[in-house]
Amino acid sequence: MPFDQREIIETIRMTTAEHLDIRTVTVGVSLRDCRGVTPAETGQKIISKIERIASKLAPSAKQVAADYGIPIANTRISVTPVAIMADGFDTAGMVEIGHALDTAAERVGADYIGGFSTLVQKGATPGDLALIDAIPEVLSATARVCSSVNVASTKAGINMDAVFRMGEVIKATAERTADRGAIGCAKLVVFCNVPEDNPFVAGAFHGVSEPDCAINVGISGPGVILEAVRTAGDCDLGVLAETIKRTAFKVTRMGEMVGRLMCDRLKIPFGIVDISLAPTPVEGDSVAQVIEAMGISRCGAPGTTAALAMLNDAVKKGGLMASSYVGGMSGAFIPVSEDAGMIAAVEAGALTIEKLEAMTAVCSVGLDMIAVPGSTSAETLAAIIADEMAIGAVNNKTTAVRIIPVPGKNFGDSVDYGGLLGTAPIMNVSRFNSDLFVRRGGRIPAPTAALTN
Amino acid sequence: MPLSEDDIARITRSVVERLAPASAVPSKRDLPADSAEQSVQAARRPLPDPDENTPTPMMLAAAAHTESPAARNVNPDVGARESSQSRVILATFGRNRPGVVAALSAVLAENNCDVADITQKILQEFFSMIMIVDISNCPLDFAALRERLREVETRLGVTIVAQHEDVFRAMHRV
Repeated sequence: MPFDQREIIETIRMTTAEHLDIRTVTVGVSLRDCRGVTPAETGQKIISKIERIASKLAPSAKQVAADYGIPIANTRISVTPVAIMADGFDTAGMVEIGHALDTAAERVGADYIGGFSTLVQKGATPGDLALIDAIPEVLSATARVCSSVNVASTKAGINMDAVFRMGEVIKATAERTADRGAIGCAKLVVFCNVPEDNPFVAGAFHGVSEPDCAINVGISGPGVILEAVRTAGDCDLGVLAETIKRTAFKVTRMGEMVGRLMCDRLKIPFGIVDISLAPTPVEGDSVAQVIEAMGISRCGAPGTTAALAMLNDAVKKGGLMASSYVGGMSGAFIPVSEDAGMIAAVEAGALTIEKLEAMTAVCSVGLDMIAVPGSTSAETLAAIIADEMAIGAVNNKTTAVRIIPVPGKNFGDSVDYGGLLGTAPIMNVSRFNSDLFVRRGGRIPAPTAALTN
Repeated sequence: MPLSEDDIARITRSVVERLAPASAVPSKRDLPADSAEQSVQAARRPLPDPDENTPTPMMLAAAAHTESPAARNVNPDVGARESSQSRVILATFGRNRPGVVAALSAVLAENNCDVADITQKILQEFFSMIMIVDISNCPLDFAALRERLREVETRLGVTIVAQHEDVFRAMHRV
């Protein structure tokens, strides 16, 4: 197979200078056969199963990275939503399971474990409520466990009781981790239409329709797309879309290849490639900067939503052809603290929560890694969540909220989490409240978009 | 996608940062702004001390493959018949000095690696080379071979990027 020298240089440039890497190789593990009589017994079964399936995860990832010269940033585990397999345990029991997950992840060398989760879009069982009540303690007392709660879907509508409860849970989690910038909230996502094979934390879990185990791969490619857009120069938007599409194709093919290699080595079936553009705080590895390279002077300025829509669409089109099994979120992520361009745009006053909300209507996730003043009430947090859930439910897409009310911080301050989580500027929240609306409770009925049959 | 000196500058700057002693390597977050202009400026800075062992971004930038169409294709016949199971692409960048090709070849020969193709370019004092190497008969695993190559990197002040051929196949061939 001949290679053009330019192709060789392009690939080397992507991995060495443009931060192209595999963001995560996530092993999904079903816990449905791990139920014991007591939480302690269940925890033991969980640990043994994860160790049995994923003990080679971290070393294999290291080996594949070395053999192929492609960096793998994280290895992660996702498990069956704990509320499903642990239903019947009380809050203390759920906390015990949370600790077992942390132990399991530590033993196999996984960076994170996702699945301290539940789906309550239509209503909650006692087990669901016990899990939700356990979230603040689990997220404050463990290092690797991530939690997600699906409170809305196109088919079921929006469970406003759960939305309000999550506002309170987010506040409680922030307070319990106040000494660390409320970092617990960075490990907690509230979803609408949550995907069941998402490899990215904090929303990863292993859905009930998944096999016993599967490998899902997430790629990180904003730096590569940014360079392609810059290199394309002064072309029209059709040409630019084509450029992005071609680049996304290449990036996805690499992700699929690494996923398949990991499957061979771990003897675990292949799940999906998530073709999301996942930024990191590194300069240049930024979705905001891609938007700016397209001709928007600052991310958040008028035109941002259109630019993001085009970017997201072109990434999907390129990725779709590159892999037969595309899944998870598969779009552009716009986490504020994890993206240097987003942080700069917020600090410059160009990007607000309201504009981010509009952007989430055309990309894959939602209000992500947004720090707000610690004084923000549970009702206001819930109202922000409700808005985001409405966008997802009505438009038949995934949306999510990962919001961090940082105790003691106000608009204009910032909080540094380090690593991939980055630095979050505290954003302004509307001073007008929606308390009465949120406190009404009940379920917002499913939109007509649900009636597809 | 056109290839420019800037491309090479960016690759090599990252590579060099990775090679630097751990304490000197900026964390991912601390990496400097990375505009094209800075790379070009870096490429124009005066030459470093010739005895300096570690290649600088500037040196490597200057080793750019210019777009000379005649030299651009790695032999198109090579490998068409072979499995890529055990072939790697070694891209070497650095200051040109006698013995770079010899040193690399010696390590490869000692370990029963077969050089299937080689393209080399020298621009001013700077050197770049892309080799396609069959390692199927190599008694060492890839990581161990990589260690041997690292000795060459240190001794001769070059940077070697090694990637499995399958990576290129996946990305550039449908």
